[in-house]
Amino acid sequence: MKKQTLILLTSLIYFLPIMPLWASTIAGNIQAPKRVKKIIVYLEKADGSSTDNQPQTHTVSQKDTHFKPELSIISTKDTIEWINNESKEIDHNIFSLSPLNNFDLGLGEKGSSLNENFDKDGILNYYCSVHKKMEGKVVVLPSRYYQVLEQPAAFQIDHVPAGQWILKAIVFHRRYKAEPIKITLGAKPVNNITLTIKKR
Amino acid sequence: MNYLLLSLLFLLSACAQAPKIIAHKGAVFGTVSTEAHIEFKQKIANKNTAETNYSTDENGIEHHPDRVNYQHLDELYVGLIVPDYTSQTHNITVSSDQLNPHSLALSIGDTLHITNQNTSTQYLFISEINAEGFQAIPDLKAGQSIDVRLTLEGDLELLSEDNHKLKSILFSKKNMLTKKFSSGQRYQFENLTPNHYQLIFWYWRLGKITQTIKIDAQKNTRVDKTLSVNILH
Repeated sequence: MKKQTLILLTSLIYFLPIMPLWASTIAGNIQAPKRVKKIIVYLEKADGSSTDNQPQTHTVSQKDTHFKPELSIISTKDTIEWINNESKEIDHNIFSLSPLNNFDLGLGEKGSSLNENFDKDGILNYYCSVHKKMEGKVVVLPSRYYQVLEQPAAFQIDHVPAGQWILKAIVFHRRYKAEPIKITLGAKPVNNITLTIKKR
Repeated sequence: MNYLLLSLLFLLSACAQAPKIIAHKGAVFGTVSTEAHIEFKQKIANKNTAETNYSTDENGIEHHPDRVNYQHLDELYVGLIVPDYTSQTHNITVSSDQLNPHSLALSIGDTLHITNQNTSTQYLFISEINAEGFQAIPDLKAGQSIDVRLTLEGDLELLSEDNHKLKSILFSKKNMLTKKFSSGQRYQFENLTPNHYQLIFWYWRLGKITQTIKIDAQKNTRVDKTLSVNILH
């Protein structure tokens, strides 16, 4: 009996650092000047490692010579599928020159779909080489723990595994920048965090 | 007689295209242009296509207002990296709904002469596109101008704090002498000391092509370049 207990305790000590035993909530408020509008609050592992996301596919429609939505928020390992939903016979191309991921998916006819996978986190712009007003943006986040806010407000990110995290924000107004906060999350929720956004 | 006249005209046009030869110096010249995606071009070339979206005129593509007209694109830049660079000044005007020019290639250390044609104060700044670099610009009152020395290098944006329509895309590189053209136009850099140079072709939506060239004394080097999405392949 004593031997079994010892084995159980040894296993727990061994696996404790790599197995999140609890999932909890990180919540708080965004403090920012009035000019700041859209924000993505997100969590990144403190050691820079990737979270175990199950890859997902996100759809962008090409309709009336526009990308809909123009902004895609995804996580690393995810795929975007662009579907040509034009009512007329209009072809579209998708390309990006971003250092994050440069690609040219060729020409897609009405009804067709084109795919691209995103492995690195960051922000990239993409275009259709045929139509001048067709521009889109992809935000690739390092985890799936995030919240999109249309203006500075209270935030809450649920089901976050216990561990060391860094709370960050993507501020679309480039004049401003968020100050990251290191957070240790255990079994209990971490509330009342204030993420400050300041002028650069 | 007609053949003689044609030959003479051809010779004259060929002479007009090449820069003047200067003793102990060389030059680079050529044509810079842009073209549509190769698959799009192939589709247009297919005359049997049933798609009503692809119709052509005697000059090639019939351009719809919402399509990129690659035969008539403006703001194509050719840059030459020169060791003895002298800083240049570039004019930018701020109106209610745009910055003019929409894109600008220049050297780090160049001056941006920004004029505010609006009736309100403008709060502009420069930001790196793919990094955190940032340059503040003093507040610019209505009707006034300001000189700003660029301190950032790389792919940049000149932006407004309170009007997202005001945006100019900048490409900055050390010691880069730049000239602006329209698609199909001829460029030239002359009076160059024989050496190796870096030549850069850039259009904001199609990226850049960099080529190292060798300039010899009493010689004109011709480099024609086409910018296209196809450069990704």
